Amino acid sequence: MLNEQIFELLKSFEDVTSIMYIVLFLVIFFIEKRMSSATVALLVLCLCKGMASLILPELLTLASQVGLQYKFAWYGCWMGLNVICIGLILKFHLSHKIRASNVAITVSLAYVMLTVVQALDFIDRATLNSSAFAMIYQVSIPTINIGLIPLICYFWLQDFRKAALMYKEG
Amino acid sequence: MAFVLILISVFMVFLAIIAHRKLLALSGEPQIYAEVASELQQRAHDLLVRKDHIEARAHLDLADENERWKNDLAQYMEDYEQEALARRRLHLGR
Repeated sequence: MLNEQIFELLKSFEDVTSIMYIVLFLVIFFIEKRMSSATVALLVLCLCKGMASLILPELLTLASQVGLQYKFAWYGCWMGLNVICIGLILKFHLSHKIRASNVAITVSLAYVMLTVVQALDFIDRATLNSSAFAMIYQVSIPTINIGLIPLICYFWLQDFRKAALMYKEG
Repeated sequence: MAFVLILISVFMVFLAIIAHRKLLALSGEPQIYAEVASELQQRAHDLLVRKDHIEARAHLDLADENERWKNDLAQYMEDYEQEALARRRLHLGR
């Protein structure tokens, strides 16, 4: 009963996260006016959200079929998307020669956590099929997605304040 | 079949962790900057020691020594400023 309520609440919050990511990206980009580490991370985040919403309907029909390979299609696609996103953040940093800020590291860490949760749930389904991880999976993924927003705000404000102080001194 | 799929998922987790660790390595100050900062610190310390020496033996050829010390100090300040400018360009992009 309580779990159901928490899940509903998380779900309703998660629907807003993609809009929040885009708003955050636009605000930070208009304030910084250049490709910094934080804007790269947010851009990749928005890109990932867009790709996820594009492939979600097809994946849902695929995953509803019975069979381990269909289950893997669901988990594997999300894991692959997460790995691609971390790789993109890394590639952007390398090619633009920018230092990774706390924002980029937080986003990348969130992707690592999502990948780990997905892999654990898939391994559980493939071997024991105890569905012990199903609950953790359903709760942790929206939690990570929502929790990213305040963390990004906090770390970006911290970096922004540091840069402003350095600029004043220099 | 299941074994291969599990292997692939574990591989993907490792891939994600490796990429994350590479990103972490990009976050710190590069080694060369730490070395330059340490060298500047050492030079400032040497200058201060020389100033102490000059003040301690005030009765000797003070003017000449003092002039040289001031020149060295000016050189140090110049280097320090250049280094600070280079760092600002690199880290802040302006």
